[in-house]
Amino acid sequence: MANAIQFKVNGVARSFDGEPDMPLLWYIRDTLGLTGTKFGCGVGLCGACAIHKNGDATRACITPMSSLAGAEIRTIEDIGANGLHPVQKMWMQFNVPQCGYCQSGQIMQAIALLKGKPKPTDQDVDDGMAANICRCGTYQRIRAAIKAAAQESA
Amino acid sequence: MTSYDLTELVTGKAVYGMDAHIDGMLYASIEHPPVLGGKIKSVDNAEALKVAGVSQTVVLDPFKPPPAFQPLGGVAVLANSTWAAFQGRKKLKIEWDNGPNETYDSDQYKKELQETARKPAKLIRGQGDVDKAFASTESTFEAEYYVPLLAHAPMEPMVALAEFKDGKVHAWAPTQNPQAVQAIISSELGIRKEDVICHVTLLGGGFGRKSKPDYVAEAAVLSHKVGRPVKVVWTREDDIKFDYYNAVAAMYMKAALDSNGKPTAWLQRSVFPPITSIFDVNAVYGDPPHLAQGWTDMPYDIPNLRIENGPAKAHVRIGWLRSVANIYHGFAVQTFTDELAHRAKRDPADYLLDLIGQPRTLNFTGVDYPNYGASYDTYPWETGRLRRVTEMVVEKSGWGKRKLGKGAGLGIAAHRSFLTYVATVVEVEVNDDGDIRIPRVDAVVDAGLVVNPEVTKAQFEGAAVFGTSVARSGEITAKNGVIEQSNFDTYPVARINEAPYQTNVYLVESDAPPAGVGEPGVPPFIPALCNAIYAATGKRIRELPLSRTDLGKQS
Ligand code: FES
Ligand code: FES
Repeated sequence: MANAIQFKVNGVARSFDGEPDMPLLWYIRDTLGLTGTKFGCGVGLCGACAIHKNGDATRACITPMSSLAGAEIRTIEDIGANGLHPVQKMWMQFNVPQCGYCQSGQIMQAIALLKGKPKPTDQDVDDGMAANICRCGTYQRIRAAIKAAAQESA
Repeated sequence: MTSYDLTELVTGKAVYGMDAHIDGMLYASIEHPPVLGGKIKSVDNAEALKVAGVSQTVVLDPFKPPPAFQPLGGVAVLANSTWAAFQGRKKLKIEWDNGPNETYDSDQYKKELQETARKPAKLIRGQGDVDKAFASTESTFEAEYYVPLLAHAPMEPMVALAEFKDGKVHAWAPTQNPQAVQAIISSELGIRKEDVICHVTLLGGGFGRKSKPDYVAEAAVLSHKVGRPVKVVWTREDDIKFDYYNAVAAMYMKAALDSNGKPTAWLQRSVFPPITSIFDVNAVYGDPPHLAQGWTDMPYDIPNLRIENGPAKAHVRIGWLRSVANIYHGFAVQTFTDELAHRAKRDPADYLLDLIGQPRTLNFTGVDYPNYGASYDTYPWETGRLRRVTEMVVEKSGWGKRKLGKGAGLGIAAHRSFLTYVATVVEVEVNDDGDIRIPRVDAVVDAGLVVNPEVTKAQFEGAAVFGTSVARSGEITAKNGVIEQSNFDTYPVARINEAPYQTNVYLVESDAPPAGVGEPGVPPFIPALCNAIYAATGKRIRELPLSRTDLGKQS
């Protein structure tokens, strides 16, 4: 279609001419089959669907396809594709995941947080991560892993 | 958990039920009857079918009471993507016949439970003569406690993929109970259990919800009807509104006290709609396994004792949630203990140790006490072990010694559940606006022989967060039979800035047989937190969640 939306997902050029209101989450999951990005609430309350849009942590479940023209989207599958990111390494070292379902979103959020605050305080971590729910309650380890990753990248 | 390849969990490669896929599958979203037991009067699917990607709608039969693990019924919209199914479903026009549960109202129901709890009820365990002791004592104290319905809200909503082909069903599902998956699909479709093959995927959390496979049966029934593989995806709203809730409960407690403030008689009565109601429409009394969760086994050595349970009818599906009846039973017993300590002007930890008493094995001769299904010889109830974790948590937490800031307080509680003994001290800070912060939690755990200390500690850290969610904001209510909450805005769970900042877990070295570690952290945490709030503010929490109580300083 003439009005197809052009954008990139994990560096690959994509074009979309379907339902413009469809959230990016379902394009990523159902169309591209990139299932690392999770569905948790569908309304921007939990962060399970966090991806990077032009480098910023963004909720894919409330990002309509119509807003993507020219955007660079990055999902968890691309993080560490060429060797684990320090955040992923620390997530493993601190045994952060329990069920693991929220952790793609937590990691995407944490990477974006560290980009803006390379040496985050407790308050920075609270502010940066409060939009991401972990129902298993791994927050204490998330905090420790973020701080360790900040050291690592220093 | 950590046995699973961590690399897959941090790179998005792990495959959950939500990620299951087979070629040619359809996605389904189901509009369930808004009231439990409701039936369809009429459906207009014309607009739904116009949504791009929607292929058809299917009417699902209502369950035949009791609900057990049967699908709830309703109307399914099938489509070529999850989103199209969701959109089509929004366009359905359905008229419902809500049935008798339409009158269910949580405020009214709460009053009924509380009234029942004030009346003599069925004796579960007793000794001595409580009535005589109450009549002859100078001092008695009574209090009532209340805990609402709670939802599981695991991070991954209910989801399942099923394919019916050549008389067999393959189901891919995040389930805690594959045998139940086989049983319900076999009875729904009239095929043999052996012809149901359940492929268990990774679970995005369960907490007990995913041991009830109604959602897996939905996928199988739909695949059978449409002749294609079908993936049923529940929204978060579906998950919150159509859960098997942890029971709402009212507890009444009364003690006769001697001149030192020690109980000489103790009456405790709980009332809650039982889990057995999902299998038996007439069930109204607690069943022995769930009464045994922190109620029948109230461990204090009191000469006159009556433990009772009153009737309550269920109007929603009741189910087990992480630590189950221990949540409300532990809250009542451990808060009441703290209330008595303060009345006696005693240190709450010393007083708790006094009531636990000297090491002894509880004797349940003549009492129906299932002990979590474990042999009583192998797993006796030893008060010495509860005493030891309590003494240890006093020491580890710096109880009575630690300097606390303004508006801060410490609370303590001890509880045995799933054969594991836990004592917890919570530090809370309450500011002038009534907002709470939990800087530190210390939990001492005697779970017998611990195979994997790292995983065990993580479970207790998580239990403190889970308990925080229950205490702060866990409340499901119904009006006209319809659940009022729907997503994480109306059913909030603890976030990183609300969760305990630091939870220290200490494992008692033991060669006793291994016991539960996933659930036992929850029951003592909640009363320890509420007791800490009392220490910090002088406000006694007898009703959960905390959001019902204004903890701010009155000006
Ligand atoms: S699924 Fe997007 S914020 Fe919850
Ligand atoms: S690890 Fe299970 S929800 Fe976060």
